[in-house]
Amino acid sequence: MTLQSPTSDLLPGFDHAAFDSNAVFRVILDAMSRPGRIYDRPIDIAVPDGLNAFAAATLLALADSDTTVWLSPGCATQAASRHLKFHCGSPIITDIVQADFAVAAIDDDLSFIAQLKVGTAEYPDQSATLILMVHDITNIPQMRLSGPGIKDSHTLEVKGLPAAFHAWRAENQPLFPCGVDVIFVTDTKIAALSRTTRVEGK
Amino acid sequence: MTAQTAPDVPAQAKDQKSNADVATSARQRWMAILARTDRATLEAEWRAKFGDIAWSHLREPQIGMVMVRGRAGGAGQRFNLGEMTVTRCAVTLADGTVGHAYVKGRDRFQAQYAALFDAIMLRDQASSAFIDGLADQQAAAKRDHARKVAATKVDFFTLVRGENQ
Repeated sequence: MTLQSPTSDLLPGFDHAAFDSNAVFRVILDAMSRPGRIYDRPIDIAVPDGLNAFAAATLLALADSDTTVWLSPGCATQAASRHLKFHCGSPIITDIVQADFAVAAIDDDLSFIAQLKVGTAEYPDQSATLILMVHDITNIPQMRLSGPGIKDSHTLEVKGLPAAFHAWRAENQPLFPCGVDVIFVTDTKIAALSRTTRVEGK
Repeated sequence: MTAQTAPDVPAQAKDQKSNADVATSARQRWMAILARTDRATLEAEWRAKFGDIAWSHLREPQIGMVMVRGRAGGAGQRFNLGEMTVTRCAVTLADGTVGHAYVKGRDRFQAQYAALFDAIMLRDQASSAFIDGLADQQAAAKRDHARKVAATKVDFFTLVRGENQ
């Protein structure tokens, strides 16, 4: 009798599903409501190939069977897809136009961002959220952020952010209430740019 | 012509397929038996035989609902019979074997132990005897119940309406 391969490379999800997803959600909520402020990863988590720890935690906290996830070619390893399918039950799609969550690393070809859903005037909430895995986030004054959730202004630096990203952000910003929200994640840190955030600087 | 030459290749494919089918149905059998076994029995057996095995949760026991669907007479239109509470769990043994369980009700530990035994069975069939014992018990209980029900059977032949007198 041949059994299907009994071992697998599946990794565990949150250690304590309720508390850990709650803690991660809280941090994402804080990061989104105070754009540009940097927060630390609150929990430890197993990381599949292709993602970093905070990206994995963010997806486990936010994605479920009702949200589609698009992984950039660089992140779309089998391990990452299986991890998300198993723990979130999310459909992993290849059509970027349909994506609720798009995940990419900063070194990937970022030309896809122009195709992300921005929502509609009736349902601006149906826009995509971009989760961008970056090398480092600091508050060196490279970008000056202002807008809702920011008293006066914040500074933020994301290493290696291409000029095309800023151009896209500049086009994205006047679409309000439509638009794409961006979450920057390193292994241990998170910062967000909400669709309302105005960015000045390089 | 084709009918005579064709079977060569598909026969092999069919063989592989039926092998997989055999494995799947064997797993279905033990998963079903485990899902019908109460927590105390599973826990006692696990403690006695496998208590020192290292394992971890891949997915903590989760309680949810599934919609049970049926077809009238097994062939009619599909309809929703009702929702049922189920608990699911996935565990992984230290060697990477992954076991799954879906059990009726809200007993997290029952689901956890059922998943552990699934993993053990996938690994090396080490609890075959235990599963077979459970299968016998469950079959006996089912027979017993069927016998009790059969004793109350009403024979409607006595209720003919009289026109064929």
